[in-house]
Amino acid sequence: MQNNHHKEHLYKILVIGDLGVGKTSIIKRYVHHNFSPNYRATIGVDFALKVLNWDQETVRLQLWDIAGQERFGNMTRVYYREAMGAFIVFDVTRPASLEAVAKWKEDLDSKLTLANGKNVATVLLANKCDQGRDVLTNNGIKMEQFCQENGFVGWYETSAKENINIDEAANCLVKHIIASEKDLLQSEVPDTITPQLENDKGGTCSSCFRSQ
Amino acid sequence: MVSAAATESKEELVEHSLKKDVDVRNEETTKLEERIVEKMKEMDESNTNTRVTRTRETDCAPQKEEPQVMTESDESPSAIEMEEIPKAKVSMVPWSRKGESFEDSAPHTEEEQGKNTPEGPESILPKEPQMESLDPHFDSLPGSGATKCKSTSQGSAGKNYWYFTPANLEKLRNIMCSYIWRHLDIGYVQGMCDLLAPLLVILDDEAMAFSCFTELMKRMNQNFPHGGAMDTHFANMRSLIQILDSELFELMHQNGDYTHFYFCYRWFLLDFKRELVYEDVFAVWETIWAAKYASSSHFVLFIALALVEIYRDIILENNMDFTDIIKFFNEMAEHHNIKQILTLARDLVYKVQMLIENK
Repeated sequence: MQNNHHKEHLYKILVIGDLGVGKTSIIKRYVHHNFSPNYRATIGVDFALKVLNWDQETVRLQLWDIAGQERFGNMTRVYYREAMGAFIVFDVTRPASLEAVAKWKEDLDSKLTLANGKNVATVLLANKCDQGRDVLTNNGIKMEQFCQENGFVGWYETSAKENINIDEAANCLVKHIIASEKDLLQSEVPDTITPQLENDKGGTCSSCFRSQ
Repeated sequence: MVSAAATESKEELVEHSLKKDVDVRNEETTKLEERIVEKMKEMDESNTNTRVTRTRETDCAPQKEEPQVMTESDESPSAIEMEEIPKAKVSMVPWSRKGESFEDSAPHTEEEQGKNTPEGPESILPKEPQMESLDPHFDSLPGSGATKCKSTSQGSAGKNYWYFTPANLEKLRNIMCSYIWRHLDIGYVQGMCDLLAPLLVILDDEAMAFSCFTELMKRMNQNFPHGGAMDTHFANMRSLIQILDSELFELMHQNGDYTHFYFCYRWFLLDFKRELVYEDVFAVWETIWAAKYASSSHFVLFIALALVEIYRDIILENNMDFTDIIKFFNEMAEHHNIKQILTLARDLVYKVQMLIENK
């Protein structure tokens, strides 16, 4: 399958959220097209690769399935490195997992930005929607507003069990990743000065750089 | 649950080594580290290539490791050179540059049976024995553009371990709840079930498994996020790889610097339980418990070192970065040649002891 005339993209995508919300199941459904009701905690990080055909180009999504209890500490910082997009997952039957979403988003944005300083595209997944949507309806939370306030590019009600909306959510994320990648390439103006971390000589003021 | 007190004497036998291990481990870990750091300084003086990043000035009153007692004297090597470290047979296949797919080297057909884990009630307790994990796919590796490894490595992963019928899962759950009830300050943390499961399987007795698990957790607790031992493990790995295999250390440092050794996290958290099939978990755990008396109280560390060193040529050839190495070890889970790894671990203990004694 080495089609060299095809353009290939490899994107690292994070899947994060509280423990037991279904991150691994979503990935399994998306990549392996199956579902298991059994639970096995992810320890550290697992991987999966999804290959998509996207406008006659090949898009490879390297999905990082990050253990739900790893939010704090330096390990997530390392896991997040060089990701281009993220899913943050919560469980519609557990309000606390929704409350944790903002914390996950904060953690993500504080540890990871694109080269142009923007946050990576992030899609919110309201998983287990086959088991009722009480959290969504009863809390009076307007999800659109929640997404805007917290900087999500979109949200989907998903079910790994019933295979609902997972492809749609992934396509949405890929679309935004590709857009942000174009954005990145365009922002690389040839005469921009790139500050070097190693260079301690100073001289470059970050605010000058920002104002371009 | 049967009275735990009734089994206490037996438990003492089984977990005797654990108890003592717990007491001395923390103290000794620090000492080990300091000892090694001191060793590194010495090496640095004679060898300018050795980079020392850890410079702790503490006095360490270097106590010698106890003389090694080897039961299999025919296998005791003299101080081995790193070049002599054998390579795992299995390791050569999946990471060949041709990138052929490889056969499952450890088929466990008895485990092919049974999706007999029922969907549990909404619960704080994960159903640990679901041996399923994501099927990691190896994409192109840096340095070998077309390396591709289509994994068929589910093997024993992907199916439940035969022991975990609904009835036995209930036992697992009972024990776990009992433990948490007695340790409400800690609560349940993911991974605890992994540590309990092998004990229940081998003892097949709720009370015994509970008591042993309680003892085991006295040591393992420190590795969980609420403890602090994980960073010590990482630091020890860093020091020892730097001393024993500076070439590998250099690669790790240059390829995005993963000398934080986070890829070993699961190994230390679960005493390699997720890396091995059950039969091997039993062997490794017993070795860890016995090694305190026969080899080193830091044997966990040396197994981890052996796991890295067994594959060091593959890691170097493929010029692995952090992502590659995590993927590699995830994929290799339950495919290790444990006899080879344990032998190498023991040899590495010996080698480090020699380094310290012959300074």
